[in-house]
Amino acid sequence: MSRQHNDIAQALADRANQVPEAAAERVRQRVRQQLDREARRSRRMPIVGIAAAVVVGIGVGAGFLLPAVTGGSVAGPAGTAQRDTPAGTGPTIQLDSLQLSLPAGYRLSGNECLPATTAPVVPIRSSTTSALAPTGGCLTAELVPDNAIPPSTPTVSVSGHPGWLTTGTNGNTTNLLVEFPTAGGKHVLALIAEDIPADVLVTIARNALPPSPATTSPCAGPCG
Amino acid sequence: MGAMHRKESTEGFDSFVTEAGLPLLRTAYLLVDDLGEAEDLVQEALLRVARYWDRVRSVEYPLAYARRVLVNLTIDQSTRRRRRRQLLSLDRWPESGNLPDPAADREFSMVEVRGDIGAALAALTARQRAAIVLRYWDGLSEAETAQHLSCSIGTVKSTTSRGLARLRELLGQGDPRTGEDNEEDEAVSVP
Repeated sequence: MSRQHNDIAQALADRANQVPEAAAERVRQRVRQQLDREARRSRRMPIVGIAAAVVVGIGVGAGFLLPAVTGGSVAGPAGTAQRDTPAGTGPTIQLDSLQLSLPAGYRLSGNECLPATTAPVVPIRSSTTSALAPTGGCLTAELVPDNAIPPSTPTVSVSGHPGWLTTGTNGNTTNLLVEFPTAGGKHVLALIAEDIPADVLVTIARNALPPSPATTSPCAGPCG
Repeated sequence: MGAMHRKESTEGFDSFVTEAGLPLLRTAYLLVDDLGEAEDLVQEALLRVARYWDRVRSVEYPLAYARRVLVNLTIDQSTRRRRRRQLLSLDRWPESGNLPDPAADREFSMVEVRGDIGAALAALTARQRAAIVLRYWDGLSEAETAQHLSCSIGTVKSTTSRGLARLRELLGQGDPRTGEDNEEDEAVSVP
């Protein structure tokens, strides 16, 4: 190897050795937790399946029997409930401790759904997951550093946390950034969506985030 | 019997992760120049290895297998990562409007990058970066690097050579004539 190549190898080694052993331990723990979670889920699956079948059976039976007993008519298939809570009946995205429940009809995807832009870069903190909407829209969710939030005042409140709704340069991209506190400091949940309405993004984020302590603490009497 | 096998398998994988975690993380860090991203990539690579652990542990070098998964994940996600970074950054300064002159921007980045191997690596294409890190950090031969990158030895030579030239230029050591950085270069194979 030439001297220049040795220099590069040495520079790489110096750089690589900056990685602390604690980071590897963190990864080891995350992998173990994920594998344990998957193992628990697979053990629980048959029980959940049977329970779901029983619940569906009871629901269907009640749907047919109740109108007959009361003399009323059967309403549409939970149409109102779905409009009020568009998130929560589809697949879920797990981002660290956050669980994002997606609306029915969505499916998780590894497909690219971010528009190309030309601008400088910011570091990303966490991995991402994408989902496709039944209408053809696409959503990417991730946790990003708090320096990604715009310098302007928040435009929306999500479970009491400050949120920023922005529209991308191509018009059909909507982004929601919500800043929330964690034990390790402030995190920002980023939902980057194409052809998905802003209110759906807000609902997904609201269902995933714990209420802000600032909004829950004054509630001494009966709440909700 | 099944439970005992599962326990052995779990323990074997755990000790592999304990042993291989740090080397993989250091490789990933050189590939993406961001510790958080590197952790995510290694986590994903190890989870993929875990799913095939019964087969992987029977191969001679499980670490090589895991590193190959990691490198492929990094290259596969590089475009998405770059666009995501750009998108978030654009949203941060929506009023900025005018983008800098590309030539001036490149000159500025070269000044910044001198002496900083991390930033210089970040200026390479994903495959150039992978080739250089595998050859000069992980110490793989050209043939092993070719296996990791699923390409010919000739492609490894040309990709490494272009990457090194660019790296030397950015680090202020070298010949600026070879400073082209083009993703299409990577498809060129030297026999």
